[in-house]
Amino acid sequence: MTVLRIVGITIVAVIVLLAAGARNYTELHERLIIRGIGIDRTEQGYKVSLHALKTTEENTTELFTTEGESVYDALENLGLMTDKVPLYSHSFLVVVGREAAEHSLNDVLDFFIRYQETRPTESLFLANDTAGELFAHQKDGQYDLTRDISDTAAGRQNHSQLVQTELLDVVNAMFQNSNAVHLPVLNVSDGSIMEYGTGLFENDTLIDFLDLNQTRGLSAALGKIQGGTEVVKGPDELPVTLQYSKCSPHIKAEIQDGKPRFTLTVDCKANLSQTSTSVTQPLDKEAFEQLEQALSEKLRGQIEHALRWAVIENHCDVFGFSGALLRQQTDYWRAHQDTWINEMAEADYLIAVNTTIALEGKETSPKPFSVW
Amino acid sequence: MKKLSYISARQLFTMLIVFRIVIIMTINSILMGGNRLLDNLMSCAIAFTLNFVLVLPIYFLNRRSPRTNILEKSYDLFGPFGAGISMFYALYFIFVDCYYLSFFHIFTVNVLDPYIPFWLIAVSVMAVAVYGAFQGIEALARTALLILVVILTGMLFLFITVIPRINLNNLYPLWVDGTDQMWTGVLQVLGRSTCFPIMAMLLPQVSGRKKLGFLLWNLILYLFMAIGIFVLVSSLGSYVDTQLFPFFSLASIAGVRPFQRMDAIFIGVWLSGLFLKIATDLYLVTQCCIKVFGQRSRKISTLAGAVLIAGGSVLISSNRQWYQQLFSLKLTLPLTITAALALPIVMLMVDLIKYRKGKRQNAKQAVQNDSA
Repeated sequence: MTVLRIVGITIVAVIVLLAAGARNYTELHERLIIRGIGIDRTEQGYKVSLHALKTTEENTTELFTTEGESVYDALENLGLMTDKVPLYSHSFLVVVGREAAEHSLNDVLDFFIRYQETRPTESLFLANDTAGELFAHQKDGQYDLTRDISDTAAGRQNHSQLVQTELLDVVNAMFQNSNAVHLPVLNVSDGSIMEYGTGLFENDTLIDFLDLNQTRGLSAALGKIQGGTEVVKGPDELPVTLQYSKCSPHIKAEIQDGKPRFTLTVDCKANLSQTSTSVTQPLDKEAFEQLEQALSEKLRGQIEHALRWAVIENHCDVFGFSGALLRQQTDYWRAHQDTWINEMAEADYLIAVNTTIALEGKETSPKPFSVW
Repeated sequence: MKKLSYISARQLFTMLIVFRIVIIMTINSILMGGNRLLDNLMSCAIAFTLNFVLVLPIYFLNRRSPRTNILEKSYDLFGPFGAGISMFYALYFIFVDCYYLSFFHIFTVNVLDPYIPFWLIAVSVMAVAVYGAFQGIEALARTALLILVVILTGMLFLFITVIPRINLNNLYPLWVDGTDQMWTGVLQVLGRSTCFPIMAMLLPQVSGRKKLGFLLWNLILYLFMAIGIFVLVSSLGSYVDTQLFPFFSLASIAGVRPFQRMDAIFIGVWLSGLFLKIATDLYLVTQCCIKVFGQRSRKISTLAGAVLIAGGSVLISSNRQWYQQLFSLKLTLPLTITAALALPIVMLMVDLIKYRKGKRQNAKQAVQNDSA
């Protein structure tokens, strides 16, 4: 029995040592660690721009561009430029060029849904022009897209004018069959990479944009605001700066007179960051209500503007009304799901924003409480 | 005569939990019948109830002859024809292991990188499983407890780290598209109920509170499956329908800093459960062969079983149509229903008829003796 065990263990050890994983092991310096991928449409197919980490130096990024008939074909052609083995599991952002988005988002994204190394949590962006332009952009002699976006991606929830979108969100939106796909747009402006707004899609084709104010409205309605500032008129028409803390949306779907009626309620929390009143003339406690009302009105206007442009004008259900209809008025949804894209503009929409100022800083004005 | 090994009810049902968890982790929208995975929550509830009915023939057989397993019973009832039933069960367990191993092959081909030749995986798993089968059921039962602890800890960790990604807006009402998916799910769960034939084989070797063990086994499994489906849908949304291995995709997005990307847990859980399942089935194949060919066939039947499982899986993996047949309900459902329900019912009825006949003959004999 002991001899059998020794023979058995030897066989297993030989098998393990000869296993493909052990034999074909790739060292770290032989890897091309991809940080971000940009995809543009060309006449022949696709041009792909990549940012890869240089494994020999610290914090430096290399730019590779390659072309092919499909995204995968272009990425395979990367082998013609480098002998390193690409590693996609550390890629955290994908930027789709405008022409590619106008052609078909499906063609671009299939690789990222299918390929074993890519992650569904990759952030997705749309380039106002080409993704290549964003990837080639340099600041202080270094490519800054993946560096800056890495900061932005980590802290992008602080930018209320950028709707956080992951591959997972886009695939889920595609399944809703209600033109729910939307992507944050980046643009090169004044020598920097800036937020530009939100791209709206019909099925998987880019058709229009929301501007930055509308994007903030959409962010609030989707509950994705967790930061960003807004200046409103306070007492005596003086500007007061408030910082968004959190927005919690709720959609109520009802059927009235044979058509859907949606009530979108957004509970918003904000903090008081700065006032323009004199420190010797403190604001009274009514100032709270006034500021809360002013912010509610401003945000409500932004949401309404975004809703009008996306839902009424472009028939893009980026707010998730179809989901609310499915959950709350299932029978109606069953009967109308095939025609919902055309019917959404006919539905009634009510928007209510309730703002609460949670923190007011060290200042005693306006007074959050009274002694008696 | 060889001394019979005994295991406790706790150990048996621990093994059965591990086997089921391994196969639950392979569920996807294709197998469960459509794009409304949430409907399969009801499949779990129905399967949970049906299990109490499915187990009845095995329970009554065991109650009538507590120390006789289904193979011995078949010889008692059908004489030499009992060999046919033994061989059926041996082939059934080999088929089930081909199913389990081929599923792992699909996983390695589509999701794992770098690619590992399947024959190598099959040989490695078989080498370990044969060793486990040689050690006997007591050793396997003890190992099951350790593996279950690893599996449950891993899965619990996975579920906890994915909590931040749960979005209740991804949920939808049950039966939006009808009840077809729910019933397909029930059939799929039943088709994969390979634990009942194992019970039929092992219950006579089990001591302790079997009824309580069965109840807890059933409850834990279907709670696990229901929670799994809920977490999958609520965190991945419709993205779940695009994935061949949704639990693996879930693991790849799970993460609470600094714990990120839990895919390794998924692979570890699957491999350890796979080893235990195949080792136990090989042990049972050996018992079937011993019943037909005698004690001398013990080692050779274990090795032959391993060769058949490995060879069968490799052969099946070479042909897409065979794959589709193997995973089709047309094959798994009738085989499992025959092994788990039909044969035990037939044997129970024959046993009852023979018992009554014997009773009548005894009474007649007694009357004849009295009159004499």
